[in-house]
Amino acid sequence: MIDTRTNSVEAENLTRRFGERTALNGLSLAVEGGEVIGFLGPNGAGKTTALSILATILRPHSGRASICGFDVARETGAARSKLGLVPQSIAIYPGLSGRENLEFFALMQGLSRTTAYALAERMLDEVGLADRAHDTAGSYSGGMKRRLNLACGMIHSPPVLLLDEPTVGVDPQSREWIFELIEKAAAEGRAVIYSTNYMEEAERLCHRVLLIDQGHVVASGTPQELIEKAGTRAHVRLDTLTRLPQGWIRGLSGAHEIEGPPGNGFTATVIVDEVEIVPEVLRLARDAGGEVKEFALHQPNLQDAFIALTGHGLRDAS
Amino acid sequence: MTGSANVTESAATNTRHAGAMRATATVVQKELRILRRDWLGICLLILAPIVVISVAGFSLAKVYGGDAGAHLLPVVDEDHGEAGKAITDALAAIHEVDLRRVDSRDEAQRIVRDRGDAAAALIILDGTTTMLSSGGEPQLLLYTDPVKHLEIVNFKLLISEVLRRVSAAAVDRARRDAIATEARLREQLEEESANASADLRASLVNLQREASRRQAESEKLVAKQLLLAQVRIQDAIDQQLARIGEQLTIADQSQRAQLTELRDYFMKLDQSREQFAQWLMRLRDLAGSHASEIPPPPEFPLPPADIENLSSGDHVAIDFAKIRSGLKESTTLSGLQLSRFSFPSVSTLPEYSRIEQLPKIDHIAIPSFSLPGSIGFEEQNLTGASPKVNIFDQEVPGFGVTFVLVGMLFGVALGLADEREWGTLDRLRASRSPIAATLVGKLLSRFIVGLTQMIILFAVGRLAFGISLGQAPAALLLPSSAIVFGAAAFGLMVAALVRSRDSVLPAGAIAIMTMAAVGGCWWPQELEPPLMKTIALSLPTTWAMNSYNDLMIRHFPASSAILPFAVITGFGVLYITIAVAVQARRFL
Repeated sequence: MIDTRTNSVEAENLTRRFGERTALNGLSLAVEGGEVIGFLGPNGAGKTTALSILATILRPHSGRASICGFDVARETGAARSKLGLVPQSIAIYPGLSGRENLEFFALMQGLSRTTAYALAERMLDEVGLADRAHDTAGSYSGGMKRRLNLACGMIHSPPVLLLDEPTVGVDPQSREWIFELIEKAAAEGRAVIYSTNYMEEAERLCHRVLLIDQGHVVASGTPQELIEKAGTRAHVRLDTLTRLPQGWIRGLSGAHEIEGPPGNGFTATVIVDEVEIVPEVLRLARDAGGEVKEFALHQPNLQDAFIALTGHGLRDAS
Repeated sequence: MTGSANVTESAATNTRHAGAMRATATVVQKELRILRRDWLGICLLILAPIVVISVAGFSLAKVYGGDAGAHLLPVVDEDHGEAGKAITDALAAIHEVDLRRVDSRDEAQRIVRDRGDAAAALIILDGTTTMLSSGGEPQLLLYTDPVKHLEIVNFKLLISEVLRRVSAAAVDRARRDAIATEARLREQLEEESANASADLRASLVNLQREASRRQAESEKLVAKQLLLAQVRIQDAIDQQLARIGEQLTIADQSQRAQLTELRDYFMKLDQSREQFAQWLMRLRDLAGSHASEIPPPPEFPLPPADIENLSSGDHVAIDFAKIRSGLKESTTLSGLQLSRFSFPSVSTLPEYSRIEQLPKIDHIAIPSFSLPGSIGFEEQNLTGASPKVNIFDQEVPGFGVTFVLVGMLFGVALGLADEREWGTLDRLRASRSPIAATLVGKLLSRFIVGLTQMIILFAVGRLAFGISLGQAPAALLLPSSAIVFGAAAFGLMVAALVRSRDSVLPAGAIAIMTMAAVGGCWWPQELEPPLMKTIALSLPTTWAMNSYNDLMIRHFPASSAILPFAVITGFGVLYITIAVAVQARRFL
């Protein structure tokens, strides 16, 4: 049974440089058992560096971190025994079957052969690969490989899971398998750190999110807290057959027009304080002579929060 | 408390070690399992070296003087003589030469230059036989295609050997002719000598007989002449003696008369002396007292005793009668003997036995017999092995090592780069098992594969190409295991040094090709210049190939492989140290 009373992962002011470039600058966090923490940021933000330090495969130049109370720099072996790493790349052997991959990584985690075999069977079931257990992993689809990749990191049931973008390039079905596994792990009391640049995944899975950009933690908190902290609001985008006249929205309280992104036709973007006034917005547009061809309501999310806080999007190259 | 802590710590250490060993075994099992499924890779590990070894071995056989098959050699015999035929026949009998007799130089040039069918063509010039027979130095003409250098060198060696043999045969035949002539001459000489000897012996016998006869005649004649001479001389002497006797008688008579006078004189002298003594006495009486004052009279000198004796005796001082009788006796020739004359004896003539010691014909030096011979040589391998080297003794270990290096580049360097790219290496580093166990397991599995590969290649080499395994076949495991370890460590170093998977092949391939080529894996290291040989000592491949050459070609004992084993292992340790240092720097 996993002890959830103490922080499973702690980090304090972690810094790591590669040459002149500071990849991670002063990261601090505390993750409890059963908690899913998201590292959200664009590529190159420092997420993988942070995970590598926590996974003991990279030493921090300053700061300290621990896994279940074991210092990652000084008590490496003990720390490793408490964590499971799912790297960003598909870290499996294509020449081995799914079962053999699982057994191999289980054995490398110090499990007995019997236990490894039994856990491999169970994990194959859990990730939906039982029927392809004896096929070489190289013959799997991308989603299947991702599921096997996750299973290999979780087979020894570690109290801490470090997941580095585990859903890159997977189909929705495999993504769902993965989400369910993560949620199950969290439910079992494991601490999960989930690195992603998909805000939807962070919103779906993470109890708390650290927005990371250029090595810095820009903000942290629950997704809602971050959205609120960023001050972003919902907006409605209208595509009309004719151009709406100037001041067509004037007079409606809680709504104001902003300059929207350029389109092929006539587009207007209106920020609303509350989603309840959206029907009124549509009515005003029709009254102003603009026949609405299409409209979309955009609720504020972490992407908006990130943009608001950093000035650029999650997918932009930093 | 402390004791308990120590026990706990010791147990933890043992557990860690056991865990590490188990992890190593797991990695080895995993690597071999992956390899087992890679049939293409296994084929490449075994078949590719065999194919390359076969091609290289048969192609480079001539480098080691091995059997490279027969090569076409057009020959134009313009001589049409004995020498031309001998050269052509000798070349045709050589296994490596596919001799084709062609009629003209033009045809030979076409075959060599235009069609490229042959590397060289030999022209035996007109007059070769004549010039050779007359002691000249005939020259042949060799058309060559410089591109086919090795083949030409081979032809040159073969042709030189044939020419040497033909020349030697010519000299040998001349020598045999001379010896036969000498024998005939000697026989004639011996016959003449025997005849001469017999003649000489007969002549000597006759001479001796004639000499004896002549000696006897001479002795008689001389004796007769001597007797006659004796009579004549005796007569002459007697006449002379008679004259001398007469003269002596006259002298005797004269002397006797003189002696009478002398005797009378002495009688008178004695009378005078007595008278003087009386006179003196009278004087002294007369002098009285003064007698004492009279001085003594002077003494009369005494006559010589002989004269006094002559005067006193009746004999004559010279006995002429005795002289006459003495002369008579001493001049008698009757005592003269013929033997006092020395005649040359016939016994001083050469005896018959000395004729046998006449100079032998064996000692007679006949100039034409000292014809110069031909200088050859006999090769003696100082290592005790056969002088004939099998090219595959070089190629099997050479390309075996090359493919081990290639295998390690793919298996270790590329394998680790793959694992780094896949992320499995990171996953393993983050696992409970030490990363060293992963690396050792990977190296160990590749070591097993590499050593197996070498053993299979040596077995195939032995069965298919008849390579030598030296006097201690098991000793081949020393350089083999060392170079496999060194190659695996080199692969690890390449993996650590390169930044990406894409760099592994270019960087690794360049390094491997250099190591293999300079290290003597592809061709005998002796072909390299001295500077390159010195540089090559910094490569493990060089030491490995030297060790293989020592064991397989030179048939040195197993102890010769100990130093190379240590050096190559040292290289391996160095490579691992570099790899660990580079990797640790990245981690830190």
